[in-house]
Amino acid sequence: MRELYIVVLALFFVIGSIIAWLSRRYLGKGSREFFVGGYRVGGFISAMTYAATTYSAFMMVGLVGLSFTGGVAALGFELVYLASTVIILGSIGPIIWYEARKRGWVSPSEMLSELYGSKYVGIVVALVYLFTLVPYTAAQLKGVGEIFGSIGLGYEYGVLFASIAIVFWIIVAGLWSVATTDAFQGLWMLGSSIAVTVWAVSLLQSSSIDFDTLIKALSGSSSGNLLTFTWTPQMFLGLTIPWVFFALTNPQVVQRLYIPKDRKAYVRMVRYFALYGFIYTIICVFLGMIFRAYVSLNSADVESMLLRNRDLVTPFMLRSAPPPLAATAYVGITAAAISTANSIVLSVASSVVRDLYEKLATEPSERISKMVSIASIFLLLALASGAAIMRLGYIVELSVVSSAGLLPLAPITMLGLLRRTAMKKCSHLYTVASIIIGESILITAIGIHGVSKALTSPLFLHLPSPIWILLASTAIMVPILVDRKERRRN
Amino acid sequence: MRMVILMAIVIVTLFYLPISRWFSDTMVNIHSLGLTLYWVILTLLSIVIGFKILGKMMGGVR
Repeated sequence: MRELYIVVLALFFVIGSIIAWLSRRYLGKGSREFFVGGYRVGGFISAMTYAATTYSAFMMVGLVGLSFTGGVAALGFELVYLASTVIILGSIGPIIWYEARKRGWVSPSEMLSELYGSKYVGIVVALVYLFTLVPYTAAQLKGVGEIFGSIGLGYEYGVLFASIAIVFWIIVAGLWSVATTDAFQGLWMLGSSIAVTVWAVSLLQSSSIDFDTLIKALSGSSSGNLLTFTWTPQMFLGLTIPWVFFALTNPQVVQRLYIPKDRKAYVRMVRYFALYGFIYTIICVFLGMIFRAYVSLNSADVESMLLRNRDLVTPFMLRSAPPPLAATAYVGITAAAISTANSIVLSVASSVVRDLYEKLATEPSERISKMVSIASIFLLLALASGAAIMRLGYIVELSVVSSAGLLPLAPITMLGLLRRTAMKKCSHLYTVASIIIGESILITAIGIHGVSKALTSPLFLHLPSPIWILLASTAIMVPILVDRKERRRN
Repeated sequence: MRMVILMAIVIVTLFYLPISRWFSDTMVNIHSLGLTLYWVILTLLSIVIGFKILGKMMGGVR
């Protein structure tokens, strides 16, 4: 298995690197080309990079584990993200797409900075990105490290491999190499997960588990009826609320709204992403439930062991799969982690360049911008890989919490776009206050419940912290919404 | 357009209805896959509405 994984991984890296290298032909000069492809990306590539950026190693590991332990509630959790994202991409997304090319936006923090008429908004938002997304990136590297470790290749080598792939596929041609390799990785992710599902169904058939037996096993499991809602309301609300606004708060996906080359490409991006997301979600959730039924009918000991650590479900499941399939699936999970991480690093680097250098320097130069870009990419990866290698406690929990840390950007982004032609004076003060209060609530929740339960435990009036973060950060912005007095023209 | 956006907000809110134990159990009593189908159908409806809104925003581009 180890040798097979190395061979398949090497093939994956070589093909990806060839694709990245060939994409150099599209790269022009300047940060607009490097970070957003000069707003010239086609519909299919836009869709695939959006999908591969969004769907990380969490899908085939975390979501499979969640559905194994908690049943169909995991489907509702993941589908509400897809539903709200498609609606956001259909309604607010076109406004972002249009304004980005009209105003020359490169980073999402720059977008907010311009909408609110203050470079300080961009600085604060860029810093929020750094604090929230370095743990998220570290969690992706940790995922690859865990795969390497479970196969006997060494955890640290996994982190190192992922970091090298990320750096190389960014540096070669910026957004062009990231997006084209994302398309390759996205197809690998979907293809390998479909293959694993087909095998899992054959596993049921070989154990004479028909559809009725499957339903009975899930309905009468040791965790209760897995086909009904088994989560607490706080858990469902706490985990879904940040995801509902993911398309507006996470810079790596906001930036992807800038890139489609024309209206047709934008529409294609949304359609293909919706199709990809729907299929991939159904597959990952059903995989967890299929395997739960299989394990519950064959080995109670294994079932108990996996219920205690749901992240072991996928690795354990793949141990029973034919080695070529398992190797391909493991590389698919590796691809999911790399495609998410390199988009995050590129996007956060764009914020560092645009909002922490170009907006602050008295005479920014393209040469120094380029150096700052490269330095930012290496620095971000060094921080993330350092955190992953040191196996800092709670990296995965911190990455989940990071989604709530970005939540104040939801009302800020929506209001900023709504008021984009005439913004209230001093609106930037409300924006910064909104971010501060949102982060304060999150820190309070972490202080009371700890990192792992900060999002899902009741904070006040039995409601979890994401609800209060959203309410408080929106309430502070209300004066901007209702303002009818003299406004600054944008 | 406002009606369509309002529909979209209502549909996303409906995703949270199964938090009610009564609703969740009722769906499962109708059919063992009732809750599963409920969320799948809501998602497909949301996608259709999202595409409709997109069509209006992008001026009928195919």
